[in-house]
Amino acid sequence: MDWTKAKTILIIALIATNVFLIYSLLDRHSDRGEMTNEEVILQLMEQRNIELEVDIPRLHPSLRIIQGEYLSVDREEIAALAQGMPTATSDYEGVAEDFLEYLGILDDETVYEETELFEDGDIDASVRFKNEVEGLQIAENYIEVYFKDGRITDMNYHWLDDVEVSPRKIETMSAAVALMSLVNQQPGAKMTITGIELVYWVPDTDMELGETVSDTAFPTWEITLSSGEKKYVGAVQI
Amino acid sequence: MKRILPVLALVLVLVLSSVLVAFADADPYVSIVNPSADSTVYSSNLLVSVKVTKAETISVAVAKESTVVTTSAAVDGTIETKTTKTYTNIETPESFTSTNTLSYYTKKFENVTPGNYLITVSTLGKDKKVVYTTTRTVKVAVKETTESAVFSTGQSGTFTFLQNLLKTIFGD
Amino acid sequence: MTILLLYVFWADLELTRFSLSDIDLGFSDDDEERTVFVEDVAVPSYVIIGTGQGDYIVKSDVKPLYGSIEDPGSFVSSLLAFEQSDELFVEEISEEQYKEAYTYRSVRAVFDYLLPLGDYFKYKNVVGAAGVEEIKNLSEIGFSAAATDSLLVKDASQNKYFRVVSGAKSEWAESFFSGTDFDSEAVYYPISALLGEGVDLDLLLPMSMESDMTERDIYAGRDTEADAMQAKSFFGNTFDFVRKIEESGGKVIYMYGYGETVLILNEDGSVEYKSEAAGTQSVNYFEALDIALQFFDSHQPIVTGGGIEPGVKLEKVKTDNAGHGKYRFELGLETDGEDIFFKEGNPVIIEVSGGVVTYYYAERPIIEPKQDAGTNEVFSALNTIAANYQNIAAALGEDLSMEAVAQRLTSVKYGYYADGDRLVPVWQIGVKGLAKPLYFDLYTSEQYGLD
Repeated sequence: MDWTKAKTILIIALIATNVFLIYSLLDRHSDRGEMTNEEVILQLMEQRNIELEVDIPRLHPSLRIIQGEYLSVDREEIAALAQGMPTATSDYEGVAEDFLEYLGILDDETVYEETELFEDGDIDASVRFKNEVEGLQIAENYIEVYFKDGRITDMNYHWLDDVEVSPRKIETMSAAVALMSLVNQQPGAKMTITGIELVYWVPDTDMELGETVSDTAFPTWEITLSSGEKKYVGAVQI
Repeated sequence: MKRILPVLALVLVLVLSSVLVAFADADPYVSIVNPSADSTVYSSNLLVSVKVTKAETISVAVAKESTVVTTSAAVDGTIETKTTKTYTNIETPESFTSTNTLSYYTKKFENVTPGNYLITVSTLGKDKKVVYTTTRTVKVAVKETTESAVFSTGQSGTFTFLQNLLKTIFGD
Repeated sequence: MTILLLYVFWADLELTRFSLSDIDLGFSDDDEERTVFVEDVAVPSYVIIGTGQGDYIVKSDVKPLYGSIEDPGSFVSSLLAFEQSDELFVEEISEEQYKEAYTYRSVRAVFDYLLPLGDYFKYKNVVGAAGVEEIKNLSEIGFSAAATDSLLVKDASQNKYFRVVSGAKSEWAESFFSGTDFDSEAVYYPISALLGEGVDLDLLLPMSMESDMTERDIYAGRDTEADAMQAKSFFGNTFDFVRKIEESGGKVIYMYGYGETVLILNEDGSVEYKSEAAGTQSVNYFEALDIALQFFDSHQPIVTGGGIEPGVKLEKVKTDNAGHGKYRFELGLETDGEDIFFKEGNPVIIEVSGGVVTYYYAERPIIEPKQDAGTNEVFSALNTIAANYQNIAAALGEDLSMEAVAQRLTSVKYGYYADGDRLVPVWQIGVKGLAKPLYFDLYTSEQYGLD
């Protein structure tokens, strides 16, 4: 038995296997030759009178789905706690964050978004937070903390709290396909797309529901139009 | 005197062991719905159904009619023959108390032999005194029609069968 | 390195596209795990024995008398054996002849639900007699001592009566009529006999009856801790990506896709499942029933505590033969042969379309075992109606006499009524013109379910 030859063959086979496996793994996590498809799609967009002011994202990784509980804070608790908070001068963000921490709702998902200042009216400033999970923002979720004369006056929110993620990931559809799907829903309509982004979103439903305490959010393409309107196209393949 | 006594005793015994025929009016709140008037029941069971439209107590008795011939001798030696219909209860009468404005008393009497029967519904007042008596007579007889007559079409079964078989083979 | 890569390759395996066919409905191929079969459920609603003397015996606990086809000495076997005997033909008879025959000693099985005869024979592997296609649906089937060489059949869907004539007399029927002692049972009479002239109705009522039924506890049977497990049995391996909505009242909704498949776990323990994916197989009545029962069986609630689960029986069947065949099976619950009635109607509804379950609703309560409390005389059915006839007339919106109300009766049964968390022994009375039956206490005649 010629062991040298056998060894060589074996080594080549193993290297070949490794190359194959590495290639497969990389291929899984990259876009799958959609570059040519994208050109086709851009052409179609032009035909349909759709203006794109942003690039169509290439990546659409596999993602988990999330389950959260709708935040509900007792109004009296907000009022009582607000009284004990220090007066903010310019550091509205800091005071708002402390406020949320005392309420027990400041965590890794609660991300500061912006502070809006007002001249006249009931409030001087509004500090807005967004909800981010697994690297994606949860659409239509916000917490706003309102200040008047440096004191916290109120809090408004629509927020999924205590988020749990699914044990497995699911493949998502590309932005291009999502865009096509949106366009096909309203044939002939003129649209100017100013944003396309992957988010988590709790789908609309025709079902009549009572008061909801917990719901599921799915990876969704949030397509923003020039009018400011946001359209949602589910990114999970069914 | 010596002759009369046994006869009197006999009459007394008969009286005590039988139900007397109606001596009171019928109760307007009592109606015997089954069996219907002047009907014949072809069965060995007799269903009695009494409708009571008042809260009161009734006692229901079903008695079989039998004829008794009594012979009595007068003092002067002439013999008189009297045929009396007497009624013997086939079961001890049951009482039923209605507490609503509408109730039914129903009872199935079993092993009823053919003959004439008298159904007596006595309405009982205070101290179980009979206030009203409602009666009905019914005849019980044996079923006449034979079983095999139900489906007879005038032809024997095998003949009809063969006829139908031929029909299915050769079409109609 | 290869091993490491191989590991990463397999571990990273994600779910890509999945279709509804991926939903594993959790059926076990192993029939031994099943507890409810077509044979258990496609049984008569009740069996009527005629003594030949004007009275009858009605048995709603049919299994002891009806038997099973495994037992050659049973009633059902005798029916099938009759059908399989040589030289059979079917002839139509008149309603009068049919009724006359049943004034003699007789025994018949009554099916209150739709039962297509053709499908029944296919299912039992019996070749029907010549002319049997005339009989569309089986409402009543039985023997009369008037002619033991005939099977008497009633098809209420066509309002027709038939007899299936054989060359020989049925041995089973002959021995049943001569050997059975009818005296020790509760006795039923037709209403026309009990109420006299003016009421022409064959409906049978028991005269006097003793019962050992007492109040019992009934539990909703939903263990919220087991919700996920329950849901998994409906969604299989797609469960991880199913939307879950929890309402403040305790109701939980699971939704696949955009609502193509929805599962609702209600606060009261009932379960509702809807799927828009109708199948494409053409199945007959019994195949559809088998599919429905398999589904019911494989989605048992999680039972906690020491209660017992009631059995099921067919109450009503609707079918629509357009397309691949749609069937709607409504099942009732029973315990030890005694019916359980629910105010809202039948507690289990299963729709099968094209061979696939497209709708499932089930209340699956747990019941306290029967206590041994001896027997008591019940408030007779007739007097229950007599005590309540004005209420019944009021429900009909008319001013009626007792006799007029009696003329409108469609059914009189007894069983348990689910009144909140208690089962109470009742009379169930069906009236023509009322969408739902009425319930009265079996021992006091007091009415239930008025709220």
